Amino acid sequence: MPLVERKDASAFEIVYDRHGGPAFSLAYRIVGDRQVAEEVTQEAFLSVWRSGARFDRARGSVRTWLLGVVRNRAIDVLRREAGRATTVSLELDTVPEQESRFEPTDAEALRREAGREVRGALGDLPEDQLKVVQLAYFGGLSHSEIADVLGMPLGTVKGRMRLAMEKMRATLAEGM
Amino acid sequence: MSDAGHTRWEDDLAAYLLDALSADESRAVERHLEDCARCRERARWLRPSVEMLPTSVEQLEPPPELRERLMRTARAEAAAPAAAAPRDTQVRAGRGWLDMLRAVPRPALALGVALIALAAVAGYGIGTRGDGTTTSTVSAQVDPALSGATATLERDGDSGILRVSGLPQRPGRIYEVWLAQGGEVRPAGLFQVDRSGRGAAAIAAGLDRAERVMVSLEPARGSAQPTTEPVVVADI
Repeated sequence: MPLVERKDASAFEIVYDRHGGPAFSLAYRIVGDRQVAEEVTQEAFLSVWRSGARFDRARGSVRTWLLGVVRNRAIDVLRREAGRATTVSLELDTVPEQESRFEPTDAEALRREAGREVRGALGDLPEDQLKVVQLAYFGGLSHSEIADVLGMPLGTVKGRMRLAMEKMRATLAEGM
Repeated sequence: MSDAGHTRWEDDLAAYLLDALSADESRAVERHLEDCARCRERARWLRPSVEMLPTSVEQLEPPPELRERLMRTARAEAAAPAAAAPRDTQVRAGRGWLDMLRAVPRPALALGVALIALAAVAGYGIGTRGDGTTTSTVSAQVDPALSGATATLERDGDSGILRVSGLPQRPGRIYEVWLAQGGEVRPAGLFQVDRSGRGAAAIAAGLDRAERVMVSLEPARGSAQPTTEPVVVADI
């Protein structure tokens, strides 16, 4: 990232090659449209290219930071759309693999494998916990909005979020 | 604090990490974290649960055009270090620009604003790259007061690079690129020129929704809307 901050286009290329796939995939998962996902990814990477100095190594990995930028932009897009709460997918995996237009590269194959493992961990969550996590993270809904969508008390939503997070963390700690 | 009291914070902490709290609630959690080592440690422990979520999605291959556009933009901006980010916010043009864009018929544009005349020989070239993408080069109109200055827009689909030469350096000022369509003008980037008057600005996207690319001289940090008459105009 220091090279990107110094406007080294080759370094930027490496950053994109490492993280562009997960970034595009996350954007698509949130916005559900390839063209919009492409725009979101492009905006996110350009903002990184133009303000790489905002990256704080102490606060996490480049991947985590970049995906946070992508998520924020994708959620902004969602929030601009009316009636978003009713369009948020509750499915664990809404993107069939065959939808990819391209043959997977080795790197993508590895990413897919890792993704499958994480999805396995998520799949172990009780459905009611999984829903609140997905509505919050991929749908950009607040806890009170989720309570409205699911018709449940606010305390229940927050409690389920906590239980889900604890279970996911425990799965990670088991060396998944 | 009692365990019961902490259960409330633990619930809020999970929602906070999932970005599911209101701004006020988030600030309250952040204030609590400053004073509570137990919750800070819990936040540190839980955070990987959130970080795993983006990797849980089905992994797709991004379209190769996206990479090409990004790299082209990065290389152009690296070559013209002063080029800066376009603002995301769409803005309305100032009165003078609105008048120019709305009321003045296109052919009369150059004469109507008095400053602008055809200094460069108008031209339009079209080519096709190996991947089938159509590219074009447009010579722009440049303020005749800037003797010898030229500008070209190399368009590649929705993106492009505006190259200028012979523009004067203006200390404390910066050149700003605008995309115009109908009565609306959107900022599309900032650039400076070197001592020889050369400069370039990458336009990452938006040419498909623009009728005209323009450049004006603006205060050093750029403007949300044009504050001076354009010195370069390229009809696309």
